Amino acid sequence: MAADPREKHEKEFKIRLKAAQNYRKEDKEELARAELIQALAYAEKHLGTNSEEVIEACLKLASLHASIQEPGEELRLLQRVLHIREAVGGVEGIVDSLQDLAFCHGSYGRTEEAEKLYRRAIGLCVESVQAHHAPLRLTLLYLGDFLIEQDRFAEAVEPLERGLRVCARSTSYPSTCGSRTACALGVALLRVDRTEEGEALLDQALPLVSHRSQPSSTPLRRALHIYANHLQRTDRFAKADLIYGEALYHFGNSNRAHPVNHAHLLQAAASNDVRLDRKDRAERRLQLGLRLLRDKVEPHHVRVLSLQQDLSNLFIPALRYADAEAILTEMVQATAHADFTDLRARERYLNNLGFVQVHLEEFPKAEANLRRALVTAGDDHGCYIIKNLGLMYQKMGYTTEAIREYEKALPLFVKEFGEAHTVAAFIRDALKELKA
Amino acid sequence: MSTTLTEIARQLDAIDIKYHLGANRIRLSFRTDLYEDADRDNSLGLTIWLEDDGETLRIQALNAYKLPKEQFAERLTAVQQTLNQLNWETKLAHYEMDTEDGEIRIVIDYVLEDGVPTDNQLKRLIYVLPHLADRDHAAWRAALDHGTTLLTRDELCRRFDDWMIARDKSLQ
Repeated sequence: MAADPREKHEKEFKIRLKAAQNYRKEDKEELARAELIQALAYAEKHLGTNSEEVIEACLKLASLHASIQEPGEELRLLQRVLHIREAVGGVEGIVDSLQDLAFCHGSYGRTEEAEKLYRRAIGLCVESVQAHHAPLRLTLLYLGDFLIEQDRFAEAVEPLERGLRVCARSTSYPSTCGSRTACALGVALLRVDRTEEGEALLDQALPLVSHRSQPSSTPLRRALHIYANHLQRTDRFAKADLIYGEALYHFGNSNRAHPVNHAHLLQAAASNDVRLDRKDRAERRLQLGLRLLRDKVEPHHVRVLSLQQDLSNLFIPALRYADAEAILTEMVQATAHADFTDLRARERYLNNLGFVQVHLEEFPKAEANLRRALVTAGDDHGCYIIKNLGLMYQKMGYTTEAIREYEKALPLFVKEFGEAHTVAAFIRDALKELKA
Repeated sequence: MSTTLTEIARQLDAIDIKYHLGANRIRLSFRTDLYEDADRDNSLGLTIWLEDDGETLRIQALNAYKLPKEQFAERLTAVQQTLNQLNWETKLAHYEMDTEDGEIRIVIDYVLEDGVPTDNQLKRLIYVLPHLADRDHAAWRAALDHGTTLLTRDELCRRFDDWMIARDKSLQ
C-alpha cells in the first residue's frame, strides 16, 4: 500500500530539521541555516504555506538568527509566524507569537515596541475564559520580568499580581508559572520597600523555581542575587549564605550567565563570607571572580578593580602585605589606561600600595607611590596619604620628617572627620611617641 | 577485553585530567564551587579502581561527608531521607552511606565486562561527581547540620499551591 503523501513529506521535513539540529550542536551555523532554509522551502511546497511545519521551520530559523545576532532576519521570520497564526485564528497561537516578537524587540533594546506587544497580547485574552488563562498568566509573567529588567519595579507589581490572581482561578494551580510569577513579584516588592511581602513570596517560591530539576534562567539568577543581597544588607548572613549558594549553583550551570554578573555575585557572596568570618572562602570566591573576568574585560574595568580592591582589603588586615602589593600594583597599572578617568580611585590605589610598601620596608617605592597619589589628592587634601608619609618616615627612623607629616595630616583629619576619628587618635599617639 | 589502571591513566592523560597513579588506585582532585570537604576546602577527592579483573570500573568520592555516630539518634532519619531523595533524582551516580561509621560517599560503578570506556565516557563519568557535589551540597549540609529533610518537588508544589491559594483568598 502506498504511503500517505503528507506523511512522507512530514518525514522528509523532519530529516532536514534533524540535520540542522545536528549542525547546530556542532556550532556549524552556516550549514544549519542552509538545512533550515531547505526545510522551510520543502514545507511551503509540500505541506502548505500556513502549515505547522512552516511555522516550526520559521521559529527554528529565527532562533538561529538570534544566536548569531541577526535581528532583522529574526524579526522578519517571527512576523511571518504571527501573520500565519492570525490567518489561522486562535488566541493561544497569536499570543505566543506576540510574546516571541516582544522578546526579540526587548533583547535588541527596542523596549517600547516590546512593551506594546506584551500589552497587545494581554489585551487579546479574556480573563473569564478558562482557555485563555495559560497564555494570559504567562504573558503577565513575561511583562513583569521585562519591567523588572528595566528597573521599573513599581510598574511590574500590577501585572504580576494579576498573573497570580489568574493562577489562583485556574482549574488546578499552575505551580510552575505561579512560582515564577511569585518569585518575580517578590523581587519587585523588595525593591519598592514592601519587604515583608516580598520576602514571604520569595521564601515560598524560590525552593520550587530554583529546584535542582529546574533549568537556570536570567530571572531566577537575578531573583536569587537580589534576595541574597537583601538578606546580607539586613544582617541575616546565614540565610544569605544559603541563597548565595543557590545563586552560584545556577550561575555555574548556565552557559548564558554573563561573566561580569557572575563575578559581581561572587563578590557579594565573598562580602557575606567576611561577615560570617569565612575569609578563606571569600578569598577563593574573589579569586574565582577575577579568573572569570580575565580575557573577558579590560584590566581597568570597574568590576575587576572592585574585586581586586576587596581582595586587598582581605590581605592588608591579615598582614599579607606581599599579596596585597601584587594586587595593588596591577590595579595602579590598570589605571594608566586612557579610558580610566576616576582620579579618586587611582589616588586610593596608590595610597594603599604605598601603605603596604611601607610595611614591606620598600621605602623608595612607597615614597614614590605616595607622592604620586598626593598630586591628584581630592577633597580630603590627601590626609590619608600624608599620614602614610608620616608612618613611612617613622618606620625609617626619620623623626623630624615623621613629625612634620603627622602634624600636617592631623588637622586635616580633624577637619574632615572630627576629633574622635580613629586615624586622628593614631596620629596623636604617634606624635606623642615621636616627641618623647 | 577488559581494561587496566595503566590504560585508564593513559586515557586521563588524553583528556587532560591530572592524577596520581598508585599501586591499586588512581587518585585525583577537583576544584568545586560550593562543595567543601572536611577541611572546608572547595575540593573533591576522587579515587578510581578496577574490580573483577578489570570488568568493573569504580569511581568514588570517599568521605564526601560524615555523620558523627553521636548524632545518629537526632539526624540519621533526615540524612537517610535526603540520601534517598537525591538518589531518586540522580542518574549515573548515587550516594551511599556506611551506617557503621556515618561515612557518605558519591559512587559510580560502571560495568565494563569485556569493553573499554571511551575517553568521552570516562570524562563524563568523572565530571559528574564534582557536579553532583556542588548541586547537592546545600541539601547535605541542611540534613547533616540541622536535621532538615529534603522535600520532593511534588511536596514543594503542594505546599506552594496551598500557600498561594490562601494568599489569594486573603487579598479578596
